[in-house]
Amino acid sequence: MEDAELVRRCRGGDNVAWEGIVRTYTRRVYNLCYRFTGQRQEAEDLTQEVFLRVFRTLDSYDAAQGSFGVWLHRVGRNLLIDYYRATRKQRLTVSLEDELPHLEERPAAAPPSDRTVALGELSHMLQQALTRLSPELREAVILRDLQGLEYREISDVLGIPEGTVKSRINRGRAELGRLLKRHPGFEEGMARA
Amino acid sequence: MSWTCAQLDALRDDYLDGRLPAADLRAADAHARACPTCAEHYEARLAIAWLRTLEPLESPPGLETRILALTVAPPPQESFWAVFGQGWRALQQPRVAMSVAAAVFSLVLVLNALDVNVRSLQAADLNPINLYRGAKRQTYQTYARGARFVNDLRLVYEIRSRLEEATPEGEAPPAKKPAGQQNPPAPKSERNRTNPRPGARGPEASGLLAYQQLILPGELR
Repeated sequence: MEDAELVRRCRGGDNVAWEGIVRTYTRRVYNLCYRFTGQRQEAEDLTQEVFLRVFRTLDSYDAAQGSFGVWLHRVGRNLLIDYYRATRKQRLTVSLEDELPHLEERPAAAPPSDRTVALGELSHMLQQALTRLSPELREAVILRDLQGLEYREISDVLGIPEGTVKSRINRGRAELGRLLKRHPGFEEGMARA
Repeated sequence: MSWTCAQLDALRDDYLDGRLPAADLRAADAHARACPTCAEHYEARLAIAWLRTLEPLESPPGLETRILALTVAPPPQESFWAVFGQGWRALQQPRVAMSVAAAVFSLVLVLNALDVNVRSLQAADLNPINLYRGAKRQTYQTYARGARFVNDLRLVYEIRSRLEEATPEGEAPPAKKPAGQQNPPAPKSERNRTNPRPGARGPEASGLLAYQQLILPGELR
């Protein structure tokens, strides 16, 4: 069923339609929150918050201004920025060196023999590098390279011109490359992609 | 065909997004990898490739159910006994008992200060006028007790000062003993303290000191 139809039925009080929306988008919203915060519990709480806000403000969604998915991402992004601002003071007390002690200092040794462990470790490293980006660059890179949104859709979500979106994405990608390039096996990622 | 920096700059977004034909991508990669100027693009492309290897995480178990419960499910109706049981369990905590005991203690203190007998408490005792009168009575009684104590103390000091005036200087009170019985020899220090000049004691002083010992409280002697 189309999102527009689901939304229309939700507005009419159809709980089954709302359940369809929740089941369709929960994983996507959870991934967005997790990639932004790097914390599973925070991501879970924020995901609930996103859907609560969507449920309460569903009447304000205007299909003429974009797809429901883009609107949902915009709600999620706004909550994430609120979360970032609310926790900024707390994060400032944590030293960046403490957060990433081994990202750039890891010696170029042979990768771990267990491939699963190695992939998990690489994923962890990547998440840490993402978390180290500024929120503007982080959200742009996540929306583009992890959520797979088009530039125009990201422009709608963030409420900024498409040129600014591209600029942020390129700066975020370059910063990520700089952070990750010393990690052993960095170039193997190309082969896996 | 090898790429140039200008070509790569012109098609940078397509290159980074991997939207170029495969042959062009390979040529652009080869150039970016070898060119110090374009190395940043190559690193960015590797970072993107790595990002895209990340599998989307599964949402935590029960998350969808919790979201639905928060949004559409009606709040569960609890029975009276369930609510009563919760309240009773909460009251059984030690801190609740301590708080109640402290409150009762404070109330008894206040009622005593207002001259209310807690053991035979009547509704009329809690009348504000009666409370006011009780508080006033307690205040006067407390004041009277204090004044009496101060007056008694003044009298005691008066008597003491008179006795000291009547006693010759250096006179010590006589030791309590039956008539005709000899004092055992006391240590030198004790003798010096209680009877510095034994030869100076007369019969009048002994009588006064005996009187002093009889009427003055021990701590004032």
